[in-house]
Amino acid sequence: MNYLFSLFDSWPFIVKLNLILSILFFSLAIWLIGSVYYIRYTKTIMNIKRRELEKTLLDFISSYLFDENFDKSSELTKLKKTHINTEFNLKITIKQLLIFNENLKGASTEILKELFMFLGLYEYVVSDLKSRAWEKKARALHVFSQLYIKAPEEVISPLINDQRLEVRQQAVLYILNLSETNPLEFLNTLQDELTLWQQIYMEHSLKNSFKGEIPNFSQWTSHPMSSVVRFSIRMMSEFNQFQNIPILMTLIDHNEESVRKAAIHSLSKMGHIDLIPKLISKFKNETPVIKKEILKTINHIGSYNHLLALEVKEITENKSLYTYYSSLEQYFKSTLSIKLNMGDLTVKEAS
Amino acid sequence: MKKRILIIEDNPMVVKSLAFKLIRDGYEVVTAADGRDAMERLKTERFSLILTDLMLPFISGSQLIEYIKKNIPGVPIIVLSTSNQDDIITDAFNMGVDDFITKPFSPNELSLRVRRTLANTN
Amino acid sequence: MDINFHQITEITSWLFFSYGLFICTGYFFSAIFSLIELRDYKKRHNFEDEVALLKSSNLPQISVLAPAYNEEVNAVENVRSLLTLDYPSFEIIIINDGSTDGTLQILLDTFDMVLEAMPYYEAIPTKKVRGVYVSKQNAYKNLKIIDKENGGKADALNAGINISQHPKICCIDVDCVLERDALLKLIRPFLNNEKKVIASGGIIRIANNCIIEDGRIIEVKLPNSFAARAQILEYFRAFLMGRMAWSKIDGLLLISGAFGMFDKETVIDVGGYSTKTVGEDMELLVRMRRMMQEKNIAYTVGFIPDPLCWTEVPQDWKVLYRQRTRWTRGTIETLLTHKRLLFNPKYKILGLLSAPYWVFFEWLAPIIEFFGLLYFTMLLAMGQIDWLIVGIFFSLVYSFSILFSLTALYFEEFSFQQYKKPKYMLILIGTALLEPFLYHPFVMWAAIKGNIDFLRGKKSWGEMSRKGLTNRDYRKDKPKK
Repeated sequence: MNYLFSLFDSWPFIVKLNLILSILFFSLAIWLIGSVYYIRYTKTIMNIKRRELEKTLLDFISSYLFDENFDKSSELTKLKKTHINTEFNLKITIKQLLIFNENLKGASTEILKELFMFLGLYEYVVSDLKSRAWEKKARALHVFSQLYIKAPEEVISPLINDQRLEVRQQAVLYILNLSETNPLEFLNTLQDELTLWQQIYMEHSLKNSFKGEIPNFSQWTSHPMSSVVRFSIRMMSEFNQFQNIPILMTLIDHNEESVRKAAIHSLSKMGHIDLIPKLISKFKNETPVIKKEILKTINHIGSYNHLLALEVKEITENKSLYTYYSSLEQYFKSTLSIKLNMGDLTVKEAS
Repeated sequence: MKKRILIIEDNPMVVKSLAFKLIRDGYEVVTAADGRDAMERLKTERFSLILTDLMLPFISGSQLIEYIKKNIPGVPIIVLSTSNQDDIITDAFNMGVDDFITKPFSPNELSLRVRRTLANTN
Repeated sequence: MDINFHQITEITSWLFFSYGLFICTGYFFSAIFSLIELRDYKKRHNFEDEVALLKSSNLPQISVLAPAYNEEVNAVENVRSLLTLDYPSFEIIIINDGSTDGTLQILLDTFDMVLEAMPYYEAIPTKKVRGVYVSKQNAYKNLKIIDKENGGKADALNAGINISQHPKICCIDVDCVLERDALLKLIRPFLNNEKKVIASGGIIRIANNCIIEDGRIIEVKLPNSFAARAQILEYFRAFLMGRMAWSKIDGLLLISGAFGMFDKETVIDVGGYSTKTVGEDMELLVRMRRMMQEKNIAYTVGFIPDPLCWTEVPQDWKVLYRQRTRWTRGTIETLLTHKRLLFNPKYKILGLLSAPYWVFFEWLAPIIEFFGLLYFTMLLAMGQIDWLIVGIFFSLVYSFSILFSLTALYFEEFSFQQYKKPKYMLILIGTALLEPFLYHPFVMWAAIKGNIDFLRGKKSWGEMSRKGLTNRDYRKDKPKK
């Protein structure tokens, strides 16, 4: 033994270091193997439990929703006692309720909400809202906004300005889903541009969850954030706010290209044919992106005549645009020839 | 004789709810969890109505609809889908489906529309 | 003389040692960053639902581009599987790159396709397109087949880009098996980002021996061959640790050719895939990033660690060897084409970290290792070896390499756990223990050969050396590490 120590001592520093490091790495490796197996073991058991519970819940919730002969209160107490006892099980139950909620509407959603309350899940989710872990807060907000369950105001309000973007985004959706008036009030104090993800989820909430009156989107058309302006323009056509057509017509001359494009798109979607003469007069001096949008509009609500009315001298230079123009020309001609065969007179007008 | 309905849907929760409701309405219900299974059943069994999702494993809903329209025309089809985009709905009707219900759905309304579709085809 | 010699050996030893230390530190940090990013990813996505996305009409439309060369056996099944992807609005474009077998005919027959006179603009010049086919059936409305003259994978993808109608393109290998939610996941970085997203990539999983039915993974199994299993570990290390970490600091230089999504406009702006390199996937991303930085536009590249794309890797040593020599050449070609990135502060992370990493870790590591071995042999021949010290050095290197593999294995277990049977884990651990002896030297030698090929090829850079190459990209040795 002493011999080994003296041998070790006689080595240069670097060799000593190497030996110590390799021993360290080997032990870490063995520890990792242990952890891999430990994770494997716990995950396997968790998965078995999860599958069993999911099956039980599937049967239970379906019966609770649709079976009139189901003894609700006694079955509920039984389930609560046997299954809703660990945090893991609570999470799975919430998830299952959300899946039902996502697919059903009408009377069933009220029953699901009732079930959520009876099972004592409300308290659990509220405690998550107060948690320090951001992912718990975000998830809890998500649960409440999906099920339209109101949480105490004082718990929600700090989350609107949370440090994590994910929490803020979920808070916005929660407010949107549960507010009765002014669901989009937060837009007025918005600090960052809206991402596409936010816009999609906001639109989804407005269409599917929000119960109040849809706001008039014209109030945000001069918002400093371009993404808010574009979102409002889109929503005008999504919610058929025809009263805003005059505003949209002025936005065609907006100085931002993306706003002009959105305005043209919305008007086209609303089938506002009076838009086309204005577009034809603008065409010559527009950017390629808007030119393409104008061509799309003519394809959507216009006619061959409109296409012929465009001043296309310069567009032959932009090959991509010109190709699109030619394909439109080809499309109109082919539909015209069908009409011609049927004895339609539009061709004469066109030529 | 009971009318047979084929439910093609990969979400067990939806299948369960649909089956529950439709069995109580007095139909015989057969379920297929994916497009391949559905195709097998369509080839060998007969149904009075088909209720299908559009996004399915192995074979998509539109491929199934195309097959049904070509090989067993006359069997009414109701689509039950998450999609609610205009073009997807238009495409489905162009392919000849009888009704299009979007998720989330109300089981009562669905049962009503199933009855109406069956009445219309007879 | 004697003292002089000792000094030289000492200095050389220290050089090799510090290089090793340098690399190990790099690996250590990449492991830490990956862990942080993986945990964060799991937290971010464990509660979101996809319903709003599926219902949206505002989701960017995607063109899936899949070049096919002599794929008549699998083409139909693969297209069928692509048709069942969950995404509200996408088109599938199969590019038949002048196959010499019946690929085109079998596709046209199965899907009832007819020639369509469709004017399109050749934004990127390609070999001649003979025709574009669309289906007569409504169910295959979103399927197009391009028939073109053979020009290699890059050229085929370019033709696909020209004809695609949507703003995002997803480039895949036609023999890949995609999970149904692959597009929905891969589009995510494009949605929730304040910067412009130019591309997003995913993890490539190894499908060898897995049970696949109708283009869908039914059961994940471990390959029987050692070569494929060693590649599983290699891919774990490269994706779960390497790329994950690079994505955390936004320094990704490579999105696998087998599965990646791009912003079409940016791709066209830089001129599409280069047909002049065998590493077209890496070269494209580097060129795109470079342009964005030169134009000074804030941008980013996304990365999704979920298992979304499965592909067969070569089990045959010869095929594997060819694949690796080609990867090495692709890397060298890309790095030399863009050599001005190197240590250029103008390119920030790209120039100061990513490019040097690729030069020192990916390109030079095998060369330095090779010379290290030569040096060792030289010392051995001169009798200058203290076996005890050699043993200790060796155990350090060995312990670090298995520690690194096991960490990757641990990450997999912690994150996605695709290999369900406990037995598989044991086999993978065994593979990790043996890999440094049986697999690593082979890969190192293939990389050396890649360097030699590159040096030789450079002399006759003209069309000659290209010609035999075009279809090599299509061999079953595609995925990049």
